[in-house]
Amino acid sequence: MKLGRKQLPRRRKATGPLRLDWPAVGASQDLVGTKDLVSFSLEESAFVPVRRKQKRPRKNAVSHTGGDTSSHDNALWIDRYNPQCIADVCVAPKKVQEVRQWIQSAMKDHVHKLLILVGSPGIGKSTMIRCLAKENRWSISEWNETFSNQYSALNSAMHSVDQQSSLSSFQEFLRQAGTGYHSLTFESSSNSSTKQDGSQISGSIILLESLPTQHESTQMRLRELFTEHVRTTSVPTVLIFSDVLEGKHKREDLESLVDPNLLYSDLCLILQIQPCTKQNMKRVLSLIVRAERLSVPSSIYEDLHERSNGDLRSAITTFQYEAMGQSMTVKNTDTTNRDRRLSPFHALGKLLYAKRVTGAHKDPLSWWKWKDDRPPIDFNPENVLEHSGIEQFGTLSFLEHHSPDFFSDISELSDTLATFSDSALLMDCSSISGSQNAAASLAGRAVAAFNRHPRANKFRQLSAPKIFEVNRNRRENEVHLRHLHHSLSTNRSNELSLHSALGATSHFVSDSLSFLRRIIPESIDLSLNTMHSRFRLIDKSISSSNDAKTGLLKEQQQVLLDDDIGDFDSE
Amino acid sequence: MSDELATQPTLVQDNRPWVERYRPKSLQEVSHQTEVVATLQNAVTTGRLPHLLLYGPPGSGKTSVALALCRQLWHPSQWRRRVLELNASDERGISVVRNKIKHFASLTVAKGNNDMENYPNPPFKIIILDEADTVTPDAQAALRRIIEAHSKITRFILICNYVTRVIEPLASRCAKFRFQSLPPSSMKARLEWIANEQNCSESEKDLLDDILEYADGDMRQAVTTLQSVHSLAAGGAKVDKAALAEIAGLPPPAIVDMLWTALLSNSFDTMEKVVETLSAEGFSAQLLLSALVPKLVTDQDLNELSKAELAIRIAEAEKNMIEGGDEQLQLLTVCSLAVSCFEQSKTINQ
Amino acid sequence: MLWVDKYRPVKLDDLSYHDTISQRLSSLASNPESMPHLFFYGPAGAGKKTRITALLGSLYGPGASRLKLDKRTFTTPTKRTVELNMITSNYHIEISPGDAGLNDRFVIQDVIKEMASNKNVGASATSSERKSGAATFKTVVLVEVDRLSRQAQAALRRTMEKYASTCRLILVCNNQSKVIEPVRSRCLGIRVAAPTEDEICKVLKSVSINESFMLPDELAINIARESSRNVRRAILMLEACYVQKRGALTKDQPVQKTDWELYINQLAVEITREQTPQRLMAAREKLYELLVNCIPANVIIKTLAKELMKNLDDSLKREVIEWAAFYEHRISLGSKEIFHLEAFVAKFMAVYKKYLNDLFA
Repeated sequence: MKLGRKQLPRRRKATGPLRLDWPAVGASQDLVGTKDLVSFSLEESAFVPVRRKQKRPRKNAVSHTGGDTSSHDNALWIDRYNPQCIADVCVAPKKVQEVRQWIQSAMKDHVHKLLILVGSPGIGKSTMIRCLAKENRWSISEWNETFSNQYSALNSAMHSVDQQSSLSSFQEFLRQAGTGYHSLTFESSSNSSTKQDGSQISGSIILLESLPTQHESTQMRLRELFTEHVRTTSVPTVLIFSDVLEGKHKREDLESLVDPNLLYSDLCLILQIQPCTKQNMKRVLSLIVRAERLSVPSSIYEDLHERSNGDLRSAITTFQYEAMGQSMTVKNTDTTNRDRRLSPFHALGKLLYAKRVTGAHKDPLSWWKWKDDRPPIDFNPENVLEHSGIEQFGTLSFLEHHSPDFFSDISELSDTLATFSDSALLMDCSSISGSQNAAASLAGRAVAAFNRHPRANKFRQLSAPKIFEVNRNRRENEVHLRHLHHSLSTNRSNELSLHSALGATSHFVSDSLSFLRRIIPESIDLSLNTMHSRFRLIDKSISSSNDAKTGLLKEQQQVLLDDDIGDFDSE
Repeated sequence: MSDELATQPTLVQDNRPWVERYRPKSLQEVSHQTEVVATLQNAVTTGRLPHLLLYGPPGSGKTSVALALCRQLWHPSQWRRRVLELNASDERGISVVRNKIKHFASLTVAKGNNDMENYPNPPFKIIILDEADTVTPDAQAALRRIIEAHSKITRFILICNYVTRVIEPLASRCAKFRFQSLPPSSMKARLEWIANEQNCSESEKDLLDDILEYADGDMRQAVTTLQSVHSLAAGGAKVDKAALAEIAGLPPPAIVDMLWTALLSNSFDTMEKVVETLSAEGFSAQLLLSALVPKLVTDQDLNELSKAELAIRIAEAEKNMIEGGDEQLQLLTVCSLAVSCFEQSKTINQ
Repeated sequence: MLWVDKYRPVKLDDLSYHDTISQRLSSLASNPESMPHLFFYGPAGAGKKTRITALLGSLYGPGASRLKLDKRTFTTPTKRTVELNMITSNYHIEISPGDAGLNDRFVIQDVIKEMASNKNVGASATSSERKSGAATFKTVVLVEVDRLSRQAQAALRRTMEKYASTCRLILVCNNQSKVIEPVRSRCLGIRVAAPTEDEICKVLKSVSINESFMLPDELAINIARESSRNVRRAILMLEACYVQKRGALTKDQPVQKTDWELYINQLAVEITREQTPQRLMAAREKLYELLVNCIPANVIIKTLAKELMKNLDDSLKREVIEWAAFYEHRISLGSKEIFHLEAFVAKFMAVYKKYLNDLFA
């Protein structure tokens, strides 16, 4: 997808998980464009700092306004229109079927034990499980920390929650629920069990929506508990994992929770749940509209979907809030801007193009205040970075990767790259408080500060930085080479002396490898060929510029498909 | 202590390096540090001892003083039980401070037996924290409380090279003693004594002055060098003054001169070649630089500004090398600056 | 077996150059009880390891050359496990503690403590195997000490003294500055200089005689020059030449450098030819390629700087070396090497361009 300054205002169809488009209103009056909006967004962000985490407080706020201003009863729509049967759940039927089958087979064979549902919050993962349970008359044992720790959660601002106790109550919960005798075990106050009334229970499952507060020190313990639980239990366990960025989870996050040996074994299934589709959301919302007897413009559905990123829960909540606050006449999307994140590409594009205030509409008298004869930049880099939601190293790599394309003067570029180097160094000093933000800010401002002679405006193709790929390949190659190095020195023919089995592989690579390729090609080349197909130092014909371009295009498409931008594996 | 080996003189005692073997057994044996020794001697006789903070350059006798002090306070059978010695090789994170040190500090001591009347046998224990500057700041902070809480029955001796790396609140609780690096004269007596003990040959004794020169006030270095010389000579290898520099790990004067002439050559290429050769020869850039300093400072042709510039450069280069920078590149930067400085001064003089 | 290993001298008497060092080592070996800890330093491929192996041989007799590769697992106090390769004989153990990463400290402690506690070396060996007057202590050879963390080096200080009676250390490193002074001052330093080109020629000649083929003098000299005074590399080069020509060596035969050096040469040519942001993008691809192939970033920057400095004015050389040293230092400080590498290339381009502009303006 192309990203250019002129293209920004045009509205594009949202396709795929990564949306690069930016509605008309966004470009002309974005978060940081005008002073009023800045202050507005700042206030807002002080109130609800991180969007993903704010569900609960917002819900409360909503119910308040709802209660005050309307005659509707106080129930939240999200509760009132909670799906009652599996057909109402907005999860792809194929996935539902998969989950159903998994649980059913797990109950029979006791081989499948752990199901992990991964997906952004509010897309109906837990609801699906509950509905399935209802449909099949399974009982659910749920761990609920906020329930067990209500009191301490209230006080957590002052005292830290006692990690150990929450862990041990979690352990107790797992132990009891793991036996499967639901009728006997759910007396414990720390657990809530949802028994399906009246009818016979045909099985039980454990649903883990939240886990005990995680902390460096307890994480290992938690992992052990988990492994132990899965080993002993006969009850299928469903773990909801919504700690995702742009719809993707980080493998390490999951691995830190569940032992990789277990995670990638047959005992365990990881299922990715996609965000709610536009049609589905429209279906649900229009049901609500009908039930609430509202009249809304038809564009509202698309708008809500876009703003919520497919998070149905948030969409409904927002919907209710807006429906009450503004009596459903005109949907003024301008004011709701605050809730939208800048798409990563857009944010980074902003930093790279480094547009400056066009003097005219600003105070004409202030020009003499400009430093270095240039009007100030049109945006606040720190804000842009904050709203882009990319972590610092990703930002830095991205900027570094693309900046040469925006420069025409090498010495200006050199200054910029020197600043990036400063920033990278600062990022490594994680022990100094504030260094991370300073590093990001340095990176964000570098292009704007040094690029006095930008290259002519044109559309650039912004792709994910290659650094990550390079680092990944490098790590893999290093493993290969280490293996090669060791096997050469320990195999029977003893190509290298035993001594080289010790020490850094890099010496081997830089000192001996290229000679060994000539001396004993038969033992070397074979293993080099298996090596990420990247080892081509000798026959390195740099692909002609044409090839590189088409390669870039392809790569970019791939990036858009994979949504790789969220998948930065930081060092 | 965790290990028996180190604490008890074993059968193979002779194997110990000389530095260990000839560590002073009593305070009187300690070379040069008269002031410290006198104060501590007083403490021994009265049995009254404050917390101590001993600091100073390596090899000036800090650890020796601390150990000798303990030896004099208690009977040999007793003192090991009274003293806890912790150094950087032991785990010294905050958890150790909280557990091990605290535990030891809180143990009460029995009244000394009467049959040990030759010793003052004071009713407290000593914890020696060697290399205290490597203790993490939060562990140091934790130490504070422990020192206060148990000061009745436990004394602390902190030993470090840089007093600034010990947090202020901790340092203020201790009596500070600065150890000076030893002047050759006072080291010589001790070295001669050791040489006699070890039956060193006359030719080895002739080298003592040179050894002292290279050791630069570091007793440990001097003794180690002496031992090296002795063991080399014992096997028939010839050791002369030039070889001595190498044994002490220092660049021989001839090498330094070679670099110096290269700096005066006005040619970057000549200098680069020499630097390359020196790195290939395995000389440490760090030591070469420190050998260059006195020459640069006393040079007649260079103006003061250039000298200052060079001094800064050398300091930077040294820091960078300690942080892992490449020796050759860092040496090259200093040398290239030096070359241009000399060139400048020459044109000005003309 | 490669020639490098096949013709590696195994006895102190066989060592082909640095006679004074050999002499010193044999005098140490003849009187093992008074041997201090040893600290071998010198550039790569100078023959440090060879000398140590020879020394161990004369300390312990043939038993020291019966080596086996062990894999040991260490458990740190924080319950992490570290697996490490080590080479052991009955008398000594050789490890590269730098491989243990952050846990190097514990690994060293563990190994030394364990070695020191098995002190009955002399008794355990059968009398036939034991050389008379052989050492009664065990030896721990720590290679690549310059990769050790500060903490580990600090921890080494006292450990070296404490266990000295039963266990001697031999430390090996390339970069003396990366080892803290207190550790160095506890050892007898042995500087192993890189052999001169003449010495390398002699080594090459002796290899050719043993393998019975003709080595033209010119080729030997060429190899010696290209090897940058690294014996291991020189012998590898020789063997590569030999394989290439199937034994019939000619005097004007080209001596191939390593592939990555050629690659860096190419890169250097490119960036001296044109200094534009576009060229930088192209240069970056090359840097990536080098990194993917596991060439360490500081090696890249050093080699590149040397290449670039050829054919430059003195004043420019100074500037280049300044920046190279600056960014090399940064690379060693942090983990994000690509940024520093690229910054260096860009800096060179800027400096060079300015120079050219001044020249023609």
